[in-house]
Amino acid sequence: MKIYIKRKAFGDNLLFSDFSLSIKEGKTSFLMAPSGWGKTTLIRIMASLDSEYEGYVEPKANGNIVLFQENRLVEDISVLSNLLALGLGKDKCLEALGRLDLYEDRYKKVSQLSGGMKRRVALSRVLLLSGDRYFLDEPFAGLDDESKRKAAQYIKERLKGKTLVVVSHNKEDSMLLDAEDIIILGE
Amino acid sequence: MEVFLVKSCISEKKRKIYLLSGITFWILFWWVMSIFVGEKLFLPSPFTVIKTMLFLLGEKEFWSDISFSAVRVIISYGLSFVLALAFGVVGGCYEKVDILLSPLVKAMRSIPVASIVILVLLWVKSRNLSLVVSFLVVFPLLYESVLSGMRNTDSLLLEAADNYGIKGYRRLRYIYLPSLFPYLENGIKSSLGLCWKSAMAAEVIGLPSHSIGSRLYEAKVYLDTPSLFAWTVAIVLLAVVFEKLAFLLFSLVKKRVMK
Repeated sequence: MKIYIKRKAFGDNLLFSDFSLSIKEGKTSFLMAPSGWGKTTLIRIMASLDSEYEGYVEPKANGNIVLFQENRLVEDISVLSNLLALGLGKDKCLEALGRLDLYEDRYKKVSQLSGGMKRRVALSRVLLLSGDRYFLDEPFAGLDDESKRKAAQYIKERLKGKTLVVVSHNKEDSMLLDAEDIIILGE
Repeated sequence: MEVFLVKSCISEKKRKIYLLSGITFWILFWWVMSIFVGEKLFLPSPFTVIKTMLFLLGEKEFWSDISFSAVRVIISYGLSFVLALAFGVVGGCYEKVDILLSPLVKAMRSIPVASIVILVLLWVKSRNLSLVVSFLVVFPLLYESVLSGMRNTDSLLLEAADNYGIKGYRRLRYIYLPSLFPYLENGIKSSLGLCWKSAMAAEVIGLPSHSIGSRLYEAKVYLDTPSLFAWTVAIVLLAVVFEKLAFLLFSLVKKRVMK
């Protein structure tokens, strides 16, 4: 996947100028950049969520699945209902929750969960979906070491052979995910 | 419309005591005023009204009049609710639908109830007048509540729903409905009382036989002020019961959806 951004700005704030990046299809790429560099914007452009820029992403893919930086869960309904919204059936949802140690909490409202638990729910939702490319923005934010290890294992199993782009500020996360490519941006 | 939730600092038990004290205070105030006025034609005492009410309660006609009016209010409110929800959801999803409906809804909101009653009386039989009038009064309020809820659904959630292919019924059930509930609750609160008020106004003008409105009119014609008060108290009590039942139903549906 080739990304070229001739120009991307928010008002007077120029974020990207003549920026190019290559991502290997079917592999795990790990992107690192200092905070405020524009990682989230880059993910949005790569996943075709942002089209207001000069440049291109080639080839285009239909199934771009994004784990957003914010969890984007419906807080007033249960963990299970957030997953049932995908329409993939209860069994699959329960299995995904079980893999991330959330089975016991399936009927709890999202608003009752801790930050780390919410992140795991958001991650399990993304991992249930079928797509061509996956973009995970800070997938392990708020997770303890044990949860990180389990989550990484589940990601590797579910997304084997898929194009996976992970954005994180923690280099150790790349080892957990056995990333083939580590791209350090902003240097 | 924005929804603000302010948590009361008064406990539920104390709140009930305060409410009961408030009601007692105003009944006492009414009683004192009736003594001061000294003429039941202008202001009957609470005791006279209670006596009249007890008499009415024993009358078969009282119950048939109440059921005639209540059935129409219930049908009208149910219809308003279902259609406002349907059109509000569609209007919230497709702006063009809202643009098409908004002049009609704004007109319905602005036209005085008296004008609506006279106009509608030209088109429908007087026995169904209250049904149509209260629908025309309630529908715009509920429609706008639903529309506000739809428009205020978190855009980040909607973007995620698009990305994850959450569409149609699942989008409504899991994304929109949780956001709609506070707006619907407010809409119901503001429209329930109005439904009764407009229905009664329509009945007083249309005078369908065997209705609460026609009984109010008779009380006015015969200067039977205690009956007028008794019927008014009956309407207030009916509206309160109606509100309690509506919120019970609403909370049951909410509990089922928000699980």
